[in-house]
Amino acid sequence: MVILSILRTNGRPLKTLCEFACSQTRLLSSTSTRKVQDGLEEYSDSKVISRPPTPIITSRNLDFMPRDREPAKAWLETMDTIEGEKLGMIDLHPDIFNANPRLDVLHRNIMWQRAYRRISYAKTKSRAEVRGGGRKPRPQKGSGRSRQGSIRAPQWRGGGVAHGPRGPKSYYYMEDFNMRVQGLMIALTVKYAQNYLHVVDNFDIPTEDPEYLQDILDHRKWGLSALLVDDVDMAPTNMALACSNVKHINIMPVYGLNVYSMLKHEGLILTLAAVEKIEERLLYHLHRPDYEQVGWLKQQDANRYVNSGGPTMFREGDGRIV
Amino acid sequence: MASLLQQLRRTVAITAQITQQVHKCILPSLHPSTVRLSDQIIRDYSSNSVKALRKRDIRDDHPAKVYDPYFQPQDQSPYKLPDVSRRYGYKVKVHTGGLLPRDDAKLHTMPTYIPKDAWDPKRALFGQNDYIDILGDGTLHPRDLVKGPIWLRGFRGNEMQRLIRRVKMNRKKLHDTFPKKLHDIQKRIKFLHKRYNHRRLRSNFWSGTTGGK
Repeated sequence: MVILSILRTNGRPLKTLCEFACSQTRLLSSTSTRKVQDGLEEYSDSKVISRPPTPIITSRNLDFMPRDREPAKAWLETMDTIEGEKLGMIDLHPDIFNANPRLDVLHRNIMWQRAYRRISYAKTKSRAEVRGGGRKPRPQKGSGRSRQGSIRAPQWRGGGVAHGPRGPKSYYYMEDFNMRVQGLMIALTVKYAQNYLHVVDNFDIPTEDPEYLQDILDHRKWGLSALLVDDVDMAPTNMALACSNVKHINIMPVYGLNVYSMLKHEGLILTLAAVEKIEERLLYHLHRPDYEQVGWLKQQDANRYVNSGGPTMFREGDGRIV
Repeated sequence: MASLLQQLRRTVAITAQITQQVHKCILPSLHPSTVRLSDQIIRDYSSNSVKALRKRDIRDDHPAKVYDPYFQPQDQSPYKLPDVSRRYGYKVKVHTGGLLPRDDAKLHTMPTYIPKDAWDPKRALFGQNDYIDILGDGTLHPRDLVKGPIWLRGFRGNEMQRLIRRVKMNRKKLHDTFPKKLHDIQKRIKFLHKRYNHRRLRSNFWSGTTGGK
């Protein structure tokens, strides 16, 4: 299924395509199937995955390709064995995977991710809210002691706090839309440049043993931790079970991808379908006709009701204005 | 006369011996009140312990040096009366039995350092879906992911703005369930309005002037 989705008639001669299509029909016979490498006996319920002969893909169609820049290259690997197999080399869009590595943009994105959801619940009682303290403790004059108006004034023990934290407070703000788009591209660039980005055909693994994933990471030097990104939010059973038992290997759909997670996990493993989807989305936002207006969406946000709560959410109860 | 003196000496000597024995009973560490049942469990009959059976304690390894206020050195002449002129009638009001037992009471120490787990699910997946308006189909916005009080989701303001928004959205609930809180909020809004809007600003101290004079 994945192989069919990546077939493109991008100038390939028809002959090679026909040969490839014929090889698909020979899948059912045992002569053309390649057995997976030995060494999977130590893992429980490993099965043989068959594949047509390589190379399966040699080029990819890139939209909005700048003429003066070459595409970035990446191997297309597999995950059904520890060592893996290289199925071919694919092109990656240079605007996304070879962007200018602006670390300040990355910093702004991460600061935004950390802050916009933050709500601080710290609160102290002021002198008006502390129980008691309505009466003047002693007359203004005559006692020889300092003049005091209330036993809950800030200078008193047990009194209210003058300038303390006041109530649940939010730190919400929205970074510029294009700044966030750029942040995603730069994070992908940084991962690619540091050899932490790997492209895989799919996430079918032969066993649900979490040690299998760890062995792949160790053997192929993909990093201490890995973020697996697929285009859909459903994963094969084996992969889902394996990832759930390893804390530092996490799987996400494309819409869950973000700069913070990309920098937290060392390795970034994308499926080919995920690469396609990410490129399509980011290039759309780069080349959309209302490019300039998108940056001003912040002002429109202020008028929008959160969680589709309409004007009823802001009713001023019983007609009284507070 | 001499026999009376001898009698007096004998009685004093006897009382001294008796007091020593009495104090030996009161001071538990001097005689073996702890019977070792095993290397770890000890039967303790001292008056301070709640349980007769207790675990081996630091007291067993370090028997206390006890202060005996009626101590008389051995090398004193038997023909001399013991010198009780300064100590007579003195009652020791200090615990002289050595270390007190813990009785399994909690020992307050510095808490052991436990580093936080950097890969627990919350931290490992922090930031997920923050770019859902870019990478998704555009129907969801990151502010829809904010969890918290209703009046603070996707909103930021100073204290007065936050309180006004809260009352606008939650007035009925506040009025029915927390009437005092609503009253406090209304007072606070009034106070903050005056503080923000009816006071001279420090930043405007020199505004409208051409220079100090």
